[in-house]
Amino acid sequence: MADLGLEVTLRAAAPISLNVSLTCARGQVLAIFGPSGSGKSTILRSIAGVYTPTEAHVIVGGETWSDTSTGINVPVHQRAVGFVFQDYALFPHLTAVGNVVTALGHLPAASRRTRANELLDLVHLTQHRDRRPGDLSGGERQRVAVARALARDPAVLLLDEPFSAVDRSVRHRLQDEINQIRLALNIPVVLVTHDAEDVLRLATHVALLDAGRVTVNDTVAAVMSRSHVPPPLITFP
Amino acid sequence: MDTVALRVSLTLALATVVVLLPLGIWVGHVLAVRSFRGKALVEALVAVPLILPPTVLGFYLLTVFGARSPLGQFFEGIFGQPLAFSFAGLLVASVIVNIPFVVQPIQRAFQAVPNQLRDAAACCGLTPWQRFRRIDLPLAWPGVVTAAILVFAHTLGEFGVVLMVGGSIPGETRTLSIAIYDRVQAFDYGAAGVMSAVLLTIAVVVLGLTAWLGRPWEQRRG
Repeated sequence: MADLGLEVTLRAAAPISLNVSLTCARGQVLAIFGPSGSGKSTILRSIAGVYTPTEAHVIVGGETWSDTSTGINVPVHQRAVGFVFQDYALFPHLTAVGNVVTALGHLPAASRRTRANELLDLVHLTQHRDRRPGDLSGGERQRVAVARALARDPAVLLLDEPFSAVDRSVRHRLQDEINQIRLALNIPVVLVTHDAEDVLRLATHVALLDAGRVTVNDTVAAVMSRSHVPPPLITFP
Repeated sequence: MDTVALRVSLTLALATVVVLLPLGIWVGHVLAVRSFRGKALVEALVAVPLILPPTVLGFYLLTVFGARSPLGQFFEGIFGQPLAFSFAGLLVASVIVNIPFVVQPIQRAFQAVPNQLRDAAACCGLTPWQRFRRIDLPLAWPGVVTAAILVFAHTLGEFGVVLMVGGSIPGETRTLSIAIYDRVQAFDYGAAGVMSAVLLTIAVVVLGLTAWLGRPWEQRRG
């Protein structure tokens, strides 16, 4: 079977209606775009394994992580997933470098700190590596969250509204940085957003989600070139 | 001043904390993060010692610990001494009485840790035990410290259950609270006053420690 990067099929009736089938190849950025409550974050949580819908079929890099039909459900901590949560979910009692080190358990203890520093350098946070999240700005926290997500050497990168807590100028800078990082990674990246600008600046493909169903799924260029582009892509704030 | 009674009280309070804290952390964590059938019943049972009169609780424990009960006979068969009116019996009773004082603050502390942090920790590759040790426990630490101090202070002041289960055997079950009661019964208000002042001082120090150690970690390091 060809390695499609990420293949996801999810179905559930409650607590949120979900019926989606998505793929995302290595090097692609799939934006899942839709209004609040449409099931965007649930898709990411299902890929990561922190939530299991009624029917789940998740394959990453040719490895099955979830398959409810056969009972396969790889534990979350065994999935090589990089997840940037909406509010970043940084560990408040740990420094920036401590947060990143937490995700480096797969490396020998002696090399974790060095690798964490390299990742913080990558996201331009060298100066603040010893600060705790409470002492960092929104943009700096977002950078720590990205560095921590990359620390896992992920097979898939999941970004849940990663720019929602930063102002527009910081957002543009962060978008550019993430774009550079994802070009170097060559893994599938799934971006959940309700901001059309995130889609246009970061995504290669877009899936429009409405009430748990994908209404359009194509490249960003193709979607934008169509005359029947659904209003949400243009009008979401 | 009955220093022997003070030693018994402090030993009992410390032993209660040592025995109860691991149990309280486990039960508090399970109640905070898991959903299971019968959870409401477990929470109600944990709270029972809070509303039951100490003498009623003491009576039931005395019945269960008595030489004719299976538990009393089992204990006496192994250790060669009765469980009732012994320090061991007093410790078991103290542990039971203090269950809500340790479980409830710890449960609340674990509940205050956002679930998203647990999800993030899992996505960082931490096993359930590592998540508990490196994320849950440090963040819930103020609640754990508060629970430990509450148990220590409550055990020092416990009277009804201690009297029912332990009686007043010097050096074995006579705690400072019982000694104060004995001195008042003997109209020795001077000795009772000194011992009461000692307990009051300990209570104030303990509450001060609770206020300081129980603050969120961000404030404590400032």
